[in-house]
Amino acid sequence: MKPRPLVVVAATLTNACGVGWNPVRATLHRGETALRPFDLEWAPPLTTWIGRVAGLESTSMPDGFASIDSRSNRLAHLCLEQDGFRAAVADAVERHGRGRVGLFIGTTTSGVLSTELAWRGSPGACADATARPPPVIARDVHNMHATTRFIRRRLDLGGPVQTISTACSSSAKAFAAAARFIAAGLCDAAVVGGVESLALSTLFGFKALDLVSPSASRPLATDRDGISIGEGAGFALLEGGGEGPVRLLGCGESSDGWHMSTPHPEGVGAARAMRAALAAAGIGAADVDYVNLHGTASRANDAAEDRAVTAVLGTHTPVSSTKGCTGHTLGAAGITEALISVLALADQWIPGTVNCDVVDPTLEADVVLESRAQPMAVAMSNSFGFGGSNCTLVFGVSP
Amino acid sequence: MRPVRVCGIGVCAPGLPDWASARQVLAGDSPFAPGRTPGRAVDALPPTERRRINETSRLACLAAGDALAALPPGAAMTLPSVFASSDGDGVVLAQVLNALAQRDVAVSPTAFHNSVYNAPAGYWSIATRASAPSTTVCADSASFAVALLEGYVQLQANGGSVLVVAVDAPYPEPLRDLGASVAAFSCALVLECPEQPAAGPWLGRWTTCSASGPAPDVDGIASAFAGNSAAAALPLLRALARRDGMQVALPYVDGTWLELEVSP
Repeated sequence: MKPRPLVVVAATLTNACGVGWNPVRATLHRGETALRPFDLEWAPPLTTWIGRVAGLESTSMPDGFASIDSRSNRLAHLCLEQDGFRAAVADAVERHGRGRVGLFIGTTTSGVLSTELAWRGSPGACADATARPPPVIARDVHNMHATTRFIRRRLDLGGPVQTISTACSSSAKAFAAAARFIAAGLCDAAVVGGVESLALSTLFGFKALDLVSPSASRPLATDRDGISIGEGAGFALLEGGGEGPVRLLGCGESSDGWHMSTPHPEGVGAARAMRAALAAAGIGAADVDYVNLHGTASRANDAAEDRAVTAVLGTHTPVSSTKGCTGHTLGAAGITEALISVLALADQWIPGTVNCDVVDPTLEADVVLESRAQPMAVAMSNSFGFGGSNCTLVFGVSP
Repeated sequence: MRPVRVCGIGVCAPGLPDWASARQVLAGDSPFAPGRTPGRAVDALPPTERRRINETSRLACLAAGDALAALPPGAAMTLPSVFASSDGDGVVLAQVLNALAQRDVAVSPTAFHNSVYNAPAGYWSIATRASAPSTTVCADSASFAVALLEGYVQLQANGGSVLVVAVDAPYPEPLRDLGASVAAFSCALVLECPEQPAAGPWLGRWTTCSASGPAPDVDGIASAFAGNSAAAALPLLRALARRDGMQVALPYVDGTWLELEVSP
């Protein structure tokens, strides 16, 4: 069964670059980093830079949701309020029925920050973090599904639902799951997305693995020394046969079967995901006009991805990483970079690789350092996660 | 929507160490005796990973291995998989939380990568050199039904076979109330859409509805694993053990149920 391409009917994006589509777009077009020195007043000190969403500390939950206040749910709420996204979903619910609109959300931490702060007993981003909240409420915030449940209730959706947690590929895989469910006829439209708030476990966990840069991350650079963790959220409304210029042409997924926290050095699994995405889209390597790399700025990841990209596409396809701008938003990286790819297609423009001054000479792909206008029809977005979980998305724009 | 065939079943839980014994218990042929959680190692893992593996990943890999026991060797390498858990690994969570609560924060690298939600899928892919796509889903108490439905949809879209694995385990004190399980439980199913007519059991007539309810706990097994999202599979496993046709309701999200028909 070959599913028909899904149209990106509506989308919204919030991260360190800004709250909502236009502020994020403006920061990306300016080619500025939105990273800043670690300044989380509610966290123990850490020498690194982060991508922090401004204003989350003063964001309130909407009426009726105060009992499930968490940084993750606040971020989801803030993002849902931008760009008329809730209204677009309400329109889809009106047309298809609430039971026919699915929800597929990627995250790696959901509301676990609340548990971490309660455990530390320190005052935190959330009003109730100084005291252990009652267990029933705590479980409702703590569970990996907590933020998805909030989104489902907030959007009043009644269709199929999944929280996907496959590390840094989570919200890319949300597109693949939604495409399958729509193709199988279990829903007519789907909200896909990702939500990832800054959390102590990810900040200090990646630090423990020696993967965190002490400064701002420099993807693909010869002197790159690790990731800068960011937070972010993004959502897209997908419909078969909907109205919109950009379509999801295909998704490809694979497993490395190699190591828990290190990619296959030759990028074999990553290449398999990219080839699967091309096959699903029914296009060839030469049709890809731009690749938004996973490009974390870890030494091993960028090298392995370069091997995979050049093995599948050759060395002439323009590629860039936008993580020097947004930070690595982990469970939200898939949706963030999928939507940056959508933006690239909509604006006919390639974002540059912010923070990278000198490209690692051992990398063979055609790295775009400075953003530039470029006619393009097809953009690819790569997301690779711990446990060897790979996902590639291919988007196309009607010429 | 085509029905799917069950071609492998695995279980790993205290008192139900594998499908062969669980099948007898669930069919009513032998009594249920709660015992210790099976302690065996995941032999297929390289020594380093065998040493580092966390408990929920170990249980998930054992159940998955049990489900593949009757399939040809190497079948796992090309078998797509869907893993599910509601609570992740509470023991690893406690390690990470305790490290984060210290004045000088130093998280163990192994604890961090074991705390990642798709750790069971990662260990499974390393143990079996699986290169096929794998996903890990969560939906609180509906995690098993959500994973089963994802497996079903993958078969509708792609044909072939899929492995569905669910696992949950109790959180340790004093985190106990953050988790839902009173006992560990893991189970696995291999499902396929055969091209040729084949013997059952089959799972068909999949619907979600709000009118259903939990199956009666006739033998006390369900209450022994209360709250465990993977043990929500027990009504389905019981129907498969008894090999008689029946309607099964599995808890889905927000008070709804995933209903399907098991036919022998």
